[in-house]
Amino acid sequence: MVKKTVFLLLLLIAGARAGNLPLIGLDSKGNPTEITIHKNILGSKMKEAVGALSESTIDSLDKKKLSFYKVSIGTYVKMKLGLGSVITGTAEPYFKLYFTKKGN
Amino acid sequence: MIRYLILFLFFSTSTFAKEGHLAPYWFVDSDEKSFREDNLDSIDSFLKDYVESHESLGLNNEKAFDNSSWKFSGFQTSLALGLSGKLGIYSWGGTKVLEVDWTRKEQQKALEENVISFNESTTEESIDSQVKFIVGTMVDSGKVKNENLLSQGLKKTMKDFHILGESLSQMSFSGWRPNKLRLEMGIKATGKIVFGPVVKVGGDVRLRLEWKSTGLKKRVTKTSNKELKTFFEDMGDILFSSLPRYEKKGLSLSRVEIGLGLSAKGKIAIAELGGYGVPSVFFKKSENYNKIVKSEGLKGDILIMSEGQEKSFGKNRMFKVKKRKVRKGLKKAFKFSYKFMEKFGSKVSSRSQWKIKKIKSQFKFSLGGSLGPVKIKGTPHLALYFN
Repeated sequence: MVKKTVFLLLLLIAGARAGNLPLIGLDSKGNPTEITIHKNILGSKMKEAVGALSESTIDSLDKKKLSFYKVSIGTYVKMKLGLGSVITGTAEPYFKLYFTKKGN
Repeated sequence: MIRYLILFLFFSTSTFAKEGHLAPYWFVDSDEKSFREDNLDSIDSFLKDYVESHESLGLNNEKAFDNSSWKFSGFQTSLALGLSGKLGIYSWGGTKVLEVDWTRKEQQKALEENVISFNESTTEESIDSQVKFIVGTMVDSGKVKNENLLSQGLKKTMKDFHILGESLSQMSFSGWRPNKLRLEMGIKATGKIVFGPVVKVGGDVRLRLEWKSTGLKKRVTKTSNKELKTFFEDMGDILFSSLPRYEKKGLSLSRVEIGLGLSAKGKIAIAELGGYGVPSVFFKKSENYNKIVKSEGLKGDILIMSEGQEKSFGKNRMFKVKKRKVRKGLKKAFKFSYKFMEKFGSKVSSRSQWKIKKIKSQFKFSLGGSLGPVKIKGTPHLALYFN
């Protein structure tokens, strides 16, 4: 019985940790800060953010006649996390998106 | 029961404690023979999950852009190291330890950032005209209020930068040679120019100056700086004797970026990248990659400069490190970057529509002279670029 409990406990801990990704940065006071987010949540929020950003960027690039053919946009994406309204936090992964004119 | 508790404690400390962290091996000046080399297994599952969460980015709404003349062609993700050595996704500012550029499998062309380029053909007049254009654009857009402050600061920075580039272009090197200077700067709304790491860029406008020789011979009247030449030659020797001369499969080391610093007495040092308003220098392998570095060439010290975010630095910003120690650190930095690249690459599925185009890894010297991956609160002294 004890063996089973220990085994299950270990499995539970391992399961809870699996798939979690840490986000690391500095807060506004310059102190290191860390938050964990599940890879599936991060993946879907990133997809959503990249989709919206690329759509609006390409839309505005199409409207302007620009002489250059490469554009890069660096951005932090603020993601609200939490359980209901009690435990909330924000994650802000940083990434850059690259756009090129077709044919280049 | 106690037996199981011990077993549990053993598992929770030995199995999980180091999970996701880089081993201390990468941060200390180790006697390689006495250390068991770390194979980055502790970050294996992190990288697997990380890659999985990024592999299909931007692919779901591609059809929406069929009629557009633009396309989403790539992205860059960044990683950071916590103070304990924990690896994570770079967020909220600080310093990145690794940058990974992803591109679509069929694409090969490099993407440029916003860059103001300099070379032998650049003249004082062309600098003045560029300054006028930048200041005009920024004032018109309302991003900067003090036109004079920006104009004066920008002119001085760009002209000093150009003088250094011209001096560099007069020197000749073999093996690993300095071929590019870079200065990153930010412009505040007040018109003030700032250098070095910014906790979070915020509303500042970022500019990058790059000086790259076109090979054009130009008679330059400025006296060449002997101190500068000796420093570049020493660094070239260290790089040549520490970095592999052979090409491995996959991405290969293309450039090494080193921060430059100047002491009050005009001594040149390896400094934090962009930390002092002095450019960083890029070393590149010469095409004719044959050189003999005599052992005397690796005797003596090289100066390292540090802003001193660590309290231990105090006011002593400059410290001497044996050239051989720098060489040892570089070997390890290369080893780390290469192992990381291999591990990271192995996580990207062969069916993925994205591939890794470029990886940049950043390192910092400690007061003891060892070179390790830079942590979130530090500022790197050098960067290795693989593409």
